[in-house]
Amino acid sequence: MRLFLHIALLMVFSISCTGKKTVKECLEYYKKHKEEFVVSKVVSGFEVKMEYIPKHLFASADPAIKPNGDLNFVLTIAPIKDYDDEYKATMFEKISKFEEYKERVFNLNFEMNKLVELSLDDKPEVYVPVLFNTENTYGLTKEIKINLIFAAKSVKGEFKEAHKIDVVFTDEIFETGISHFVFDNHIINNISQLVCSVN
Amino acid sequence: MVNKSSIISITALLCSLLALAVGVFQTYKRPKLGYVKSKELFEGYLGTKEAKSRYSKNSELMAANADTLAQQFNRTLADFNANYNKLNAKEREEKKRLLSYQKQNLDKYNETVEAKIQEEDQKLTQGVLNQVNTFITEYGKRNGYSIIFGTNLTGNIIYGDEAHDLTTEVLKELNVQYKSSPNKQ
Repeated sequence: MRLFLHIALLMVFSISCTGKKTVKECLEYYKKHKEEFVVSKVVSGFEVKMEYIPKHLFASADPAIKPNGDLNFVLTIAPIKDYDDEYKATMFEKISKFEEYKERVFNLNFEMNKLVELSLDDKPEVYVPVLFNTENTYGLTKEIKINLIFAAKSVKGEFKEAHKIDVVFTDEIFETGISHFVFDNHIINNISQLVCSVN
Repeated sequence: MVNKSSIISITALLCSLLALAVGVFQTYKRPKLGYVKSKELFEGYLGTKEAKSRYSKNSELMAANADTLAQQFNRTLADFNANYNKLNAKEREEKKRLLSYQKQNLDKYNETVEAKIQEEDQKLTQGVLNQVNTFITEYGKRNGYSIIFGTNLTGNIIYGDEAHDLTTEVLKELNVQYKSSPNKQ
């Protein structure tokens, strides 16, 4: 009887973890655990933040989109308000001439694959984003957001087998140095197993 | 009635004295000072080690490319010297032009590479310094320090009591937070 109860409890637990949820429930789950998907640090007047985005939760209204194991992150670089008197948008921070601005725009749009890499469990293999894009906010916001996608196909084995995911940003643009953002892959795996349906 | 007013007066007097004492204490309070050995801190920081390793990897890659260009030039030069007597005047001129072109390419590449390596080194070092300085500022605020000095080789601090030396503690915390994760915020 006791064994039966344990098995039943385990089944209920696993269904609640991996079972179907409504979009609303999925988003609530994400909201509740959001902090576990964000790693940030402050360096020299900037907040550099890396956030894991479970894109399938947001795209769950479209049944054609299924989780494919790719990892999506958003890198945000935001100026800190009280750091200096001139509170400029990140894009213009430490820029004194047009040439520097041009170089910055070029690097943000075309060179991010040289500045961001991902490694699993401290292994020597590194993976670069297969797709990235910098959101141009035309001065409407102070921060810069860069979307990064690491393809599951490029990984030896699978992302989900790793315990630890280390996303490294070598910042030669804003000179915030080398930043490691370490994520617990079990938490990422848990959310990536959620199946959300409109009904 | 008289008693009540005297109690109020005494309480007010005590409060004023207390406020005065706090004021005097704040004015004459000794500032909390500390210092770090900059070189030791910089060299022991994991960020510096990683920046150095990346820098040498990039330098090696660029040097390997320069070697390929140098080998190409040396081969053309050796070929030219070996066959000098077999070549006619026009062919010699052409070979000389090719050699000069390859030499220019090699020199230009070396110059560009040297400038790029220096620029990269400067950016990486600046990044490390920015991280260390930001951390020390945050550490100082968190632990109530008025001033944290940094010793350097030019000797801006000649002597400091070891009790005020924060190097080991700062370095330890700095390295712990180097690989940030959500739990360590």
